[in-house]
Amino acid sequence: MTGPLRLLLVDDDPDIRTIVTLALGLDPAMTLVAVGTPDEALAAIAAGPPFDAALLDVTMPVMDGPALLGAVRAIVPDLPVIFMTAHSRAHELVALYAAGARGVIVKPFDPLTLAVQVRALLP
Amino acid sequence: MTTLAPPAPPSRWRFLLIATLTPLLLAALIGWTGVEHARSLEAQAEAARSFERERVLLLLMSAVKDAETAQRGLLLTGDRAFLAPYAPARAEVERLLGAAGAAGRSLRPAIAAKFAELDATIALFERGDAAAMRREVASGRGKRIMDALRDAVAAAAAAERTRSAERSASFRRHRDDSYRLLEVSGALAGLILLGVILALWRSLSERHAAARAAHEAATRHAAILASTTDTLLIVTTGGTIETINAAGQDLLGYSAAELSARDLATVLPSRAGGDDLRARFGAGAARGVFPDQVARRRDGSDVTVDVAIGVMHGPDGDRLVLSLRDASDRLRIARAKDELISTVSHELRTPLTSVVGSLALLRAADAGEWPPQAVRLVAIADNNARRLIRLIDDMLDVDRIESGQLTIARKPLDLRTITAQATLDGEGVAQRHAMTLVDVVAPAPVMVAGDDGRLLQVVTNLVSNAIHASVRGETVTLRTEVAGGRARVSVDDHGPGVPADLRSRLFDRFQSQRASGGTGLGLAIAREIVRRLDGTIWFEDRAGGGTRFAFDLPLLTDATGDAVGQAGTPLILHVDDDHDLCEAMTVALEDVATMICAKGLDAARADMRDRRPTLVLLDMALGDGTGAALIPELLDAGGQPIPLVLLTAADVPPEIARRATAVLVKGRHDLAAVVETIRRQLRELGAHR
Repeated sequence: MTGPLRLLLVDDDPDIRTIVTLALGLDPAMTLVAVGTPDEALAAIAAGPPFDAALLDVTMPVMDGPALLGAVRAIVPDLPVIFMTAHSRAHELVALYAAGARGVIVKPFDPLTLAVQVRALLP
Repeated sequence: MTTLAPPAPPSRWRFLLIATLTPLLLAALIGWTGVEHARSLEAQAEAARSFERERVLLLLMSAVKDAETAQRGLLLTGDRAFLAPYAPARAEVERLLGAAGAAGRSLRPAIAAKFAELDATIALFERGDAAAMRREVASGRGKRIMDALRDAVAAAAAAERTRSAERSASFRRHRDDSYRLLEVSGALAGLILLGVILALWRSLSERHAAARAAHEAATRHAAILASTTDTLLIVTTGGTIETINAAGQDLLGYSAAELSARDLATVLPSRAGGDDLRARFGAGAARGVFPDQVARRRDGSDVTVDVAIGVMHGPDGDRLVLSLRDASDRLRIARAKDELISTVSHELRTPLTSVVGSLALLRAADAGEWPPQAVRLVAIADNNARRLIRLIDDMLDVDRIESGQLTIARKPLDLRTITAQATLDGEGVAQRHAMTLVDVVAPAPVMVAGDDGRLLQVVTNLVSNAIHASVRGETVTLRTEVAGGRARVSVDDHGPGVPADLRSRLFDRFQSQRASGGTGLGLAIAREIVRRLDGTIWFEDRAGGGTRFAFDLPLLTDATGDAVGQAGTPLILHVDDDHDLCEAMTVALEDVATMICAKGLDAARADMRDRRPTLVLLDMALGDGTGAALIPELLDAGGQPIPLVLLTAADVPPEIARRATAVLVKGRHDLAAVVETIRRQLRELGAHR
């Protein structure tokens, strides 16, 4: 997919938020809103404008990635969700796709190609 | 476990033999003793008879003398009174002759002569002619008869004496023999008695020892049954429970009495489908270990158990010994390990994501203003962070291998793409070590069924090891080739070689990290990946120094047996007894086709059948016949004629020339022309596909 993209990142790790922000900043057509909690994420979605996709961490306190996906879908049923996770085992990845993921990016990712990877996962 | 042979029963035949022969021997000895004794008695009687006969002879002589004395008394005195003993003496002589037996009979003529002489002289006296009697006596005839008689009696007496002595000696001999035999028999009888008593004692003590051993074994078995923490069930081959131990009673909640004679299904219910344990019982294939079986407790709850089954042979039929181990702990531990690996992996990856991500962004930024040391330090941090990630990945791979979850795809792929990628990936590291990576690529695709990601992992690992084993400035060479009918990738270095103490366990875990600077898991994982693709991985010392690590995999073939790699490039069958020409063609065409050389008709037919070439290059004059014989057989899998190029010095009949797509004449067309013709043919074939 080419063209401007407005993305939401939810990750409780501020370092990862920084790196993803910098990595996606390499693609001038990408706008990223990075938040640290599910509440902030839901608030950001409610505040608008609409996002083209959400990048969700999987292991988070309070509400994990798949649960957040459910909450997000309750507001925006067709929002593509990409999980970013340090879990790499087959059954863990299968569970994420089963939860409704559009794609999974395994950490550690290559920040120089992250934008390309994200675009490749979107229609 | 060793199998103990049961003790052999005592030999009945040996026992019967001893029991029969010993009394027989004793009876024979006693019989012999009796015979000897009878003989001694007989000899004794004989001796006594001889003695008696000798005495009779002496009395006989004495009686004859008495008769002679009476005759002489009468002659000297003329007194008739002297003649009184004559008649009694004569009667005595007659009686004694009868008693003397054979000797008497031999003496009788001489005695008769004596008495005739005595009677004659006495008759002369009776007639009153005393003078004539005196003359007769004085003539000495009577004395001579008497002397002869005396000698004869003495000889007979001596003979009897000798016989008597002999008989006495014989008597003593037989008597001594019988005494000796009696002693031997007695001794033998004593020995037999002793043997019988000893055997009896031994039998009694052995019976006691056996009874005691049986008791101890039973006690021990009972103790084992009672003390083992696994459930033990002893079951007939029909599936009826005979015994359950204490641990089993604890696990399943039944008492031994409740389960006795019940069917095994009570505690191990059959499952619909799946691996039904009980289905194996009758077949005798029950021996083995069956993990994750479901056992049912008395309260109806289920427990997962691992069941090990052994067969116990007994005199009253076989029994199955089922050992049930509660698998809950194993499953719990497996889950805990799984969680631990998952957590550790996740918790290490998350911070490493930040580290590697930061460093990558840093290095991508304009580094022109940085001091050189900073560039170097960032590179060091990046390298080591990546090494940590590799270690985590390797650990996860090892866990996948151990749990049987390592999934390896089998897709057709060209190994040359793998080595090309590995060369590309390794170039950066090689440059940092001032080394050169060379990829010697096979002329045609080397096709295998494999997993590109996993195979790249293997080759990358070998390249990384080779780089770390080498010193700066050297070359590491990758090579793909077809060798011995298999696809092979090798990586050569000029390093110092594999240390002797590592050689036998280089592919084991955590053995090679010092040599390679890696995680120590790479070669173990590589071996597993190659093994799973039906390949072999090995290393060898190179002739010029250094080490070659290589692995081979089965060449991918399609349903008709074509090597797919070669089918991707055309496969040309060159039938020619000129091997050098074939070699030259192989080299000249190696970039567009794979060549098979067949020297004769038979080899060509085999290659037609096994390899199914795309084009045939045929010489007409072959060592074992004319190439024309082959032409009707040059058909592909669909029965269609295979394109044929004739390359020959012989004349080609027009009907054969029509079948060929090209006819080249040796000597008229040079090699370049031949190669160009083939290339054109191949291009046309490719266009038709």
